[in-house]
Formats: sequence, structure tokens, C-alpha cells
Amino acid sequence: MKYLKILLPLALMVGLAACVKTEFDEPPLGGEPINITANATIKALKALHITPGGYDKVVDDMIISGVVVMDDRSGNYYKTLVIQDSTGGIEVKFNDGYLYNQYPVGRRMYIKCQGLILSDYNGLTQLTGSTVEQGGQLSGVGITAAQIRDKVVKGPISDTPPVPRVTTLGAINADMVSTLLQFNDVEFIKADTGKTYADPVTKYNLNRTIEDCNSLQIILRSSGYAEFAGALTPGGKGTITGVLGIYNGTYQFFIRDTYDVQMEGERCGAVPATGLTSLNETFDGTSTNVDVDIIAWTNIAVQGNRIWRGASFSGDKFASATAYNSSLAAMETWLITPPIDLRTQKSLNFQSSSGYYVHDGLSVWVSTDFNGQNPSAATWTQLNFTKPTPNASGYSDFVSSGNIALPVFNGKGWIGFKYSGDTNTNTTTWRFDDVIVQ
Amino acid sequence: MNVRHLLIGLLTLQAMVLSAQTAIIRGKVTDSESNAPVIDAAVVINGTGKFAATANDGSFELQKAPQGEQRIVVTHAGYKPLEQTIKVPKTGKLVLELSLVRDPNTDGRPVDIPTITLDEAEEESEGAGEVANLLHASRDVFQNISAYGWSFFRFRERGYDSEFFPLYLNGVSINDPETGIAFYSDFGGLNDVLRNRESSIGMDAADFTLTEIGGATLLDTRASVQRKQIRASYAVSNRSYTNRVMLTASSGLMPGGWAVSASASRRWAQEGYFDATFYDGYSYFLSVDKKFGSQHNLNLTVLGAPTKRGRSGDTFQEMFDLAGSIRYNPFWGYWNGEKRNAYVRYGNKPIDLSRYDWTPNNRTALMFTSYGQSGKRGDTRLDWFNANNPMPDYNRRLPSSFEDPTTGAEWAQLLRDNEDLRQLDWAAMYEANTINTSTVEDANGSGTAFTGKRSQYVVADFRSDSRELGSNLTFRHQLNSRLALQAGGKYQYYLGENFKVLDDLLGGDYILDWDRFAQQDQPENPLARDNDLRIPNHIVREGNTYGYNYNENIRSGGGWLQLQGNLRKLSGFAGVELNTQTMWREGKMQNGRFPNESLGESDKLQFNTYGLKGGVTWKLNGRNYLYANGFSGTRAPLFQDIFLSPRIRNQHVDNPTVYKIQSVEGGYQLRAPNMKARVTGYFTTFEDQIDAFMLFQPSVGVFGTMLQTGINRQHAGVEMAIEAKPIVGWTFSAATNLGKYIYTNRPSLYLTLDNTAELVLDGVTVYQKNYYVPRTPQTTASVSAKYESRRFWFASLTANWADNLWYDFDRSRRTAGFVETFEPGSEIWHTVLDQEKAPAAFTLDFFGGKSWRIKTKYFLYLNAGINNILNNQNVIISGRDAYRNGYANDSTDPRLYTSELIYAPGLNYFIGLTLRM
Repeated sequence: MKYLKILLPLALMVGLAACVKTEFDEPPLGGEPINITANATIKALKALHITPGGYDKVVDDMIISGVVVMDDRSGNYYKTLVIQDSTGGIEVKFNDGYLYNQYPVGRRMYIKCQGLILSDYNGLTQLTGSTVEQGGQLSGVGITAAQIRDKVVKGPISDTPPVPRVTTLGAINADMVSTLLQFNDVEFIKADTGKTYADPVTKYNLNRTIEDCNSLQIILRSSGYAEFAGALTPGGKGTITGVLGIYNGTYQFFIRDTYDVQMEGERCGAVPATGLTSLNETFDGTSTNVDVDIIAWTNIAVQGNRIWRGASFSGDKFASATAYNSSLAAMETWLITPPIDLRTQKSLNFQSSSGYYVHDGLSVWVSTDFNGQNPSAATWTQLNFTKPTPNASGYSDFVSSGNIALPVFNGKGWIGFKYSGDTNTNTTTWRFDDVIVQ
Repeated sequence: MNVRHLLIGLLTLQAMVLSAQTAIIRGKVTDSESNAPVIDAAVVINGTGKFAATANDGSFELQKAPQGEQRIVVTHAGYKPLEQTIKVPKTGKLVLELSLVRDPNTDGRPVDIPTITLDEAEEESEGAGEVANLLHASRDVFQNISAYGWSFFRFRERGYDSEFFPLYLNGVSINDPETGIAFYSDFGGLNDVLRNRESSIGMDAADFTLTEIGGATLLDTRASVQRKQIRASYAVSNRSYTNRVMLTASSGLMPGGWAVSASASRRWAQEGYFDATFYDGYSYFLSVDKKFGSQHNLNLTVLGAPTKRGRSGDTFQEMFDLAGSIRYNPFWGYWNGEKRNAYVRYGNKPIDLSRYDWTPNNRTALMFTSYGQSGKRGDTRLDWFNANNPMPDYNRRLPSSFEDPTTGAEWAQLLRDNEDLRQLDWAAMYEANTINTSTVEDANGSGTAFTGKRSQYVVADFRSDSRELGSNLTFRHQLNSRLALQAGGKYQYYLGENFKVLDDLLGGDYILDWDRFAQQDQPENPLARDNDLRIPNHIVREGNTYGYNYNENIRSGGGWLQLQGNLRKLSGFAGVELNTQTMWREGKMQNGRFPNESLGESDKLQFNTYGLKGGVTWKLNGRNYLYANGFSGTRAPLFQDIFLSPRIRNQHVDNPTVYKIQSVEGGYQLRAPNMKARVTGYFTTFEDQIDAFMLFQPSVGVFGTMLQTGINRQHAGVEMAIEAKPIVGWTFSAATNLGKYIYTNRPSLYLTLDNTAELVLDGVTVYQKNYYVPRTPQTTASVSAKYESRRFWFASLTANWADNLWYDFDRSRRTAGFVETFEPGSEIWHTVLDQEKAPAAFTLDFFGGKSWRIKTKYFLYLNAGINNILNNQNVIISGRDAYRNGYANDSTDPRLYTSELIYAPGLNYFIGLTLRM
């Protein structure tokens, strides 16, 4: 038993002391310190692409540095990043997907471009890894894992997302392509609201149109593979952030995800629920001899079929109505303002003019119960205004109506410009312009 | 130790006068400690030339013995020779019971079978048949060689699956009912106390079970049959583990009828033979016996082996080449400068057994055992979501898969030069997780949002826990001197719990229990993405179950009856078995894609099976035997083979049926004192089998099930072995197995993915007739020379050869649809269709040992085994078509067809030192 007394404890000690390490902790991340600086701008790099539609190998030892402004997280981009520096941005094509796990938006990247390829996709400059010949045709191959090891250095990730440049649709230029932009006060055109961004079922890409309140437009293009492909476009006005692209000379815009679209405001020309606090309508948007059609205004015939039309004189545009040559036994038409907030004292001023005067055909009314459709169903109170000097053989000058105090009312009201006449005796043409409520 | 058991005993029970002119001596030779039969003992009547060798039950028969006083000598390696004087009557029969005492000096065999121990074999095989071979390595001359020489090649006897080599502990089957596999890891490291075993070879009769065509093994854990000893051993190796400590103490039968046996061991390695395969295993064993009188014995046994180890995976030859080593393992990467393996297997399923033995007389024995086993088993591996496949051997990362050969060559050079590119990139995974801050609306269905770092890569733990209870009754009765009866009955309750647990978020805060493809392919059905509809947008953290969760319920019961008859020239047996098995799935999650088929219980599928078995042996004389055995019966399919996508839903194969097995074997056996030989031919058919296996489609990142129905196959072959001792001390042996295991028809193939309702393949015909059954060498051979010195040492050298190990083949490639665009006979046609096989393999093994006696009471044993001395690096032990390619890439590109391989180790060793007292 002597041996046992020695052996057993010894064996136990050996057995227990032998520890197999199988648990691992997590050290802080950060990686290697970055020992690289850029020696070229992205703009300078892009300038080396001199063969439209072709492939230009980067010969010089150019190192660019940029911050990722577009990644493939949502699937709107695939195997592609967009990076930008202060001079511009460029699309970078890779051979693998899920780039955002390594290069998310906000990460600084350094790319040693020597040996990489500059090409373009219908005019959009891209940096890609190599070319391959298939059936006599060259095509680009994205930067491979091997090339990444050699040519791509990860920089730090910013705590705050990259700040887009705020600009307007009218100010877009070629230098902005592949950079992060933000447009304020824009909206999807009426026909493109409440639609999917792309087709998530067929996976087709789709174009939607964005416009500002001056009707300047740009295409928003989204991938059918994007996670948000099936989301619906908003109907309001607001900001959109994304990357500018170009396709055969036409600018396109791409969002990272739907968080880039913040459009909850009222659409251009929209009326608040409590009514407008002010109004200034110059009728400059109307066209001569075309029925007046202004957002939120009502132009409606109560008798006959004539309504207010656009007219102009010496470049000034205004609204005009007449029963002359109308063949109508009775004509009554209303042009009614959008609702106006009457909870505070408001005053009305407008210019009016008459032509070939035979009758007093324009009257101005205020209502607090107009339903937006049928003037006859509303209760109207007539407002007095200063009228133009009648002219039987021509048009009178426009005269100011004078400041007309509107009634104060706990709600909103409408001002109606009513023309009455007939084809036989009451044929005066009446015009008005510059409707100001304040 | 009981004095009676120390006695070298001879007991004349009866001497019966028969109507013959010359006496017959019959008898049985048993081990003095365990009472187990001693097989192949030589029984010689001195000076007469009369001798016999004992049969499997220890019995022998000597005819025409000369009348009068004779000296009888019984010898067997490892036992002290027994010499006794007997008095032979003029006529009639003399029945002897002879008990041999072990010789502590030689102990016969090496103390530990070097190099290939249970522990090591279990790692590679999950208990496939070759380990069973090893375990039931009996004194059969063929199995002796096949078990020790060919395990290295993953040889499985007759090409059978592991379920045909059942393992019984005290009578109860411990093969996992879900998979049919005996998980040897459940009791690894307990070599010292699991030595008492009975085995049946092929279709020979066993007296503890009936219907096994491969051979069954019964381990007896009773403390009273453990040899009395205290034993401590320490071993070093370079295979699965580097160190092993084992301590065992057994009391033998003590006064009062008590016996206690205890064993504990620890095996460990920071790194085994293959890269980053750590090993950390403990095991324990306690067995207590109480004998009540001479008829009753009660035993309680508890054993368990909590084990954890880093796995190595099969991969492409290209990766082995790039790494320049067969030790290459794609499952690990450096993390903080240390090797970290993502694929960890661990398990702890302790077993309790209570056994009651009743021997009312020496002709009757009854064994009743109840057991319970429960615990967990897990396999960790990487799971990833919106991210690239992180595996370094992902086929799209292989240089050969590059379209442009120049780029491919550059990449290959990088892979050769940079080890980190050939391994997992843990840092990249941690970074991807920590930078992915995301917000989940309506988190956990609570209506509120949750923001945190959403992991893209995690370590998932694929659990297969279980709870199992059962009972088994075995009854043996000697009806008369010629006829014995054995019978048994069993019942088993099994509950398997299969689920996936989030093991490590790798720096992130959570994952979402979403199916990442549902949004893409069912955009109109937002519910589809939830893996469990009952917790929408489930925020999963470490320790939470996600993905899938289901139970497997299996209830089985049955009974068997066998008669064994023994005439002078002829012996035979016949038996019948009837079993019934019911199984069903119970889903614990309501999957969004299958809301009505995933939660709750599936159909209950019942299978009734039978087995008929019989055999005859013609004893030409004491040395030469001719025999033939046959089996015909049915078996229930395995649980894992009948459900189309068991992780997700209840859908199963339409009307699954039992399959049919027919088998015959016949041969010749020689048992002479200095020569043993056996030649056996076998022919077995399996008809109407179902086979399913999980597969991973890395291209889509989804698990699926490939399922075949109506498989027929045929296993035919010849086993031959010879062992001769022409010179004192020398043993020469040779053995070979010449097998041909092939598929004989064209089954139907179904392919399902876990996340789609449609069958990707629905009953497609697979053209696999005459394809080879994979995963075992069908041709093997060995020659061996062994010298045993009288000075207590031995050494042996064995040369082993294996060939015709065919690779598992992708069934979906062998379909009309897959090859329709190819020109028959073209290169791509052959690439896609031809079944590959491993090159022929050769190893040279050395075993040696020496023992010392110290102060009469202590024994020291040294054992050493060097396996694959020539350090051959081309021994492929598993190969399979990479199933991924057919779906991931252009099917017409021959570059994409490459197989995934596992190599056997090069030179490896095992050195053990044991102290016994």
C-alpha cells in the first residue's frame, strides 16, 4: 500500500493540474495601428479614367483615403461601396458581398490603387479589382479577398455618421457624383407616392421620381433586392439623403435605407388643417385661356360651363371670367381660395379690373362652412371692395380692393370670387389678381 | 477474495454410464474470478495425443479417452496452467468443470491494447462499427487482427452500419435509438472496468440477444466479476489526447457478499494530432454488488464520462495541399494569439444500472436490469446571418474555384504563405458583430423597440440531450445436457431533445430568431421570418434556444427466444424475435413558414418487426468445424431517416415501412493447439431501406435533409484468418477481408431544405445501381509477427493494407436531371458520375510491452505502441462528394467537383505505464 499512498495523490495532482484551456475572453477591438497615409485624392484618381466604357489600369502608386458613405447593408447596393473624400467620391466594386460587416458606413478606408482598374458603368466611374476576358469581351472583376489583403487598409469607424452635403436639385453637378448629398423640401411626385421603392417579388429595380416645390426632378433608383424594396414611398415633403449616381448623363439618386427618406411634412402647396395663416396668389402659374388650376383652390361653375381662366396683359398673369359669347342664359362661376385660418384678424387685398363694362359681375364672399366642392351648399357673406372704373370700350386698369377686414371666427374660412353674367346683356369681363391675405 | 474462487478446482459432478464402449470426457473451462467461459483453452490428456480446444461457451469434448488415471492439462495464455489427475471410467461420460486462475505475471495480452484504445477510436467514429469490432474483439482469430490492425482504416466488419454491432451493458442496449450509434464517449476512459465482455461473432448465437447480423457485445459491469486489484496508470499519446491518468480499485467479493469497484480517469490534451483539437475528458465508475446467498446478486452501477474536445473537420485536398499538412483543420483560428476551435463536441450522459441476477441452480440464470441515462450532448459550430461564410475552406474561397487562373494562383500563394488565411478570422467576426448596431421594432412581440449590437456571427450549440429509461430481462436455462434455452424481453422509453442554443455572441448583444431568407423569398408574408411565431422578433441572447427545438419520442419493446442444441457431431441453434417500436416528433416551436406543421406532435409511426435466426455447426473433430448461419427479418427505420425536415416540421416519409434483411454466412474453422484458422463467406441483402442525412448548403446557408427511400444493397465477401505458433514464443498471423458491398437498385431521392415547403427534389430516381457502399475499406489484409519472451516482454510488428474505401457520393448528382445537359462519356459526365475511392493504404505497426514484479505483490507494466511507423501521410479514411457544389455553382464546370476528405494520422504512439497491486 506504500506505493498507493504515493501514487494516488500524485496521479490526482497531475490529473487536476493539467488544465485544458477552452474558454476565451474578448479583448478590446481596434486592430493594428494604421500606418498609412493617402497620397492622392479621389478626384485625381477618377481623372485617370480616360477611356469611356473601357478599363484603365492604375499604374502609379496612388493611395486614396475615403469614408464609406454607401454600403450594402440594406441590399440596395451589392458587392459595392461608395467612399468619398473632400474632393469627391467613387464606387468601389468587390468580389464578395456583405461588405458592411467590415466596411460599414462611417469607416475610413485606405486603398492602394496601383494595379487596380478604373472603369465606368454607363458613365459612372468605378474602381474595380481586375478584368477578365469572356468571349472576346473584357469585363470587370471586383476586388478579391486576396487583393483586399494587399490593397485595402481599414481605418477607424466614426462614432457619428458621415454628414451629407446639403444642396438643391438645381445645383447638382458632375463633381457631386458618388458623394453623399441631402436635399431638403423635396417629395415624391404625386404618382409615385404610396408605391414600393422597387419590386420585391420579381426583384426588379424601379425608378421613382423626386421633385422639389419648383418641380425640379431627379430619379430615385432602388434595387429589388433591397430590404426596403417592398416599403411604400411617403406622400409628404422633407429631406432625402443618399448618393448621387449618373447613368448615360442622367443623374440618379440612391438611398442607403428608408431612414434616408424623412418626408413627413406637408407637400408643396399643401394647406394645413387649420387653414392658411396667409395667402399670396399672383396667378403666375396660370396660362392664358387655360382654366385656372391652383393647388388647394377651387374653380367651379354653378351655372353654365365656363369657369375662371388664366389671362395675361403685358406679362402679368391673372384670373379672368366672362359670359361674352358664352351662349349661356345664365353663368355663375366661383374661384375659391384655400381655407384660411380666421382665428385671428386677417385682412384681404386684391386687384381687380373689368372690360367692356355692361354689368357689375364680380362679387367677393366669405364662408366658414364651404365643403370644398359645392359653393351653393355653403353660407356666404358678401365683402365690399373698391371696384375698378368701368370702361365700356376696353379694359380698365387694375385697382386695389382696399384692405378688407375678414371676420374673426374660431375656425377657418374661404374667400370666394364669384362671377355672374349671361350671354345676352351681362357680358362684362372681370379679372382679378394678387390676392393677399395676411 | 473468496477462498473457493482461488481454488484450482475440479469437481466431478456425475459419471454416467452410457451404452458406449469408450468414455467421453466433456467439460467447461471458466475463469476463476469472473466465471466467464475461457475460450480456446487447450485441454490435453498427457501422453495420449488426445486434446481439445474449448468452444465459445468454454466447453470441450474428448472422445475415446483411455481408461484409468490420467493427467489432464489445461492451458491458455494469461492463465496459470492447470494440471489435474482424473479417473476416466471404462465407458460412459465424465463431466468436468475446470477453473483457470489468471497468471499475474504475464496477464496474457498487453495490459492495454496500445495505440488504438476505445478513447481514441470513439473520437473519429462516433461509435461506427469499427469500434464495436474493437470492443468485441474476442479471441476470434479474424477479429483479433481486424480489430487492432484495421480500425485505423475505419474498417467495419462486412460493411455494416454501426447499429448492427449493438453494445449491451448488463443486458441493456446502449445504442442511441435515434441514430443507432453507440456513443462510446459516454463511457470513455473506463477501460479498466469494462473488460468483462461476451461477444458473438457474425451471426453466431449469443445468449444475451438474438437478431444481430454483425455481432453483439455484452459488457458486464458487476463489481464481483472485476478482478481484485488496485491499479493506477499513466499514458502519453499524440492522438486524441496527450495524457491519461486512470485509477481503479476493485475489492473482489468480500465477506458478507459485498463487492465494490471504482474507477476514475482523466484524459487531456491542449492539442491532439490534428491542429487545435484539444481534449478534456473525465470519467467515473462505481459498481457495488451484494450477494444474497448463492442465488441472488444485486448490483448498482453508475458511470459517466463528461468530455469536451475540439473537433477537426473533413476538407478538400486542395486545403491540405495549401497547408502542406494532413493535420490541417479548418475549424479553428487564432484569437489573442491562441488557437481557438469553434467546433467543440461535449457530452455528459451518465448511466445508472441496477441489475439483479438470480441463479436458482447451475442450469438456470436470470438477469434483470433497469437503467436510466440522461444528460446532454452538444456540438458547437459557427452560425452566421447576413454575412459571408466564414469557413476558410468554403468552396468559393478555394483557388481552384476562381474563374481566372492567374488570380487563383495568386490567392493560392497567399493561402500557402499565410496561415491565418487558412483559418477562421475570429477578429473579423468580433468586429462585424460589434459594429452592427441595429434596432428591432416590436422586440419579442412586446411592442417596444430594442437597440443593440446584433451579431452576424455566433457560436451555436447544436444540442441533442436525452432521457432514457428501460428494463431488460434475460433468462437462460439448460433444459438438458443437449438443449439450452435463452429468452429475453425489453422495454425502452426514449426522449431525445434536440435544439439549438446560442453559445457565444462573439462581442454582440443579441441575434434575432429570424430565418434570414424568409424576407427574400416570401416578402408578402412577414410572419414567415419568425422561427417561433409565439415570440415574434425574438431577441436571442447567450443561453437562449433559437432556430429549432423538437423532441424525439421513441418507445420500443420486444421479446426473443432461442434454443441451442448440442449433439456430438452437430450443434445448432434457432431463435425468433418480435419487436415493436413507436416514434413521433414533438415540435416545441411554431415556425413561421410552417405554422401548422411545426408545433406539437406528429403522427405516431409504429413499426413491428421480426427476426428469425438459426445455424448449424458440424464438428468434424476437435479441431475442424464447418458451420452455416442464417438470418431473415425486418428492422424499423431510424428516427432520423423518416422525417423530411425534423428540425422544423412534422412531415414524414409517406407510409414509412420496415426494411428487410436476409443474411447467410458459412465457413470453416480450425482450432489446433498451434494453429487457428477461419474462413467465412457472407452474403447479406438489405431491402427497402430509408436513409436520410442532414446536409448544409453553404451557398444558401441552410440546413436540409437528403432522403432516399427504397434502397437495396448487398454485402458479400470472404473473411480469412490464420494464426500459427510454429516456434516457441513466436506467433505469426495473417488475415484478409475481401468484400464487395454495393447498391443494387435505383432508389427515390427527396431533398428538402429547412426553410422551404417545396421539395427541392421530389421522388427523383437515383441511378446508383452497382455504386459501392461508402465509408469502409472493402478489401483489407494484414500479416503480423509477434514474439513473447519468457522474460515477460513481448513485441510485435504488423503490416496492414486497406483498399477499396469508396467515397460517399452525392445522390443528387446521379439523377437524370443533373446530367441532362452533358454529353455521355464526356469529361464532365465522368467527373459528375464516377464514384471516387481512396488510394490503397498501408501501415506498419509496432506493439510492445514488458512487465516487472516488485516485491511479489506489485506489478509494473510498460506498454508501447507505435502506429503507422512509416508515417504514411496518404491514408484517407473518409471521403465524400462535396454536396454543396451542385447547387452553388455552375454544374457544368469540372473544377467544382472535389471531395472532402479526412486523413488518418501519420506516425502516432501510445505509451502507458501501469502499476497494479
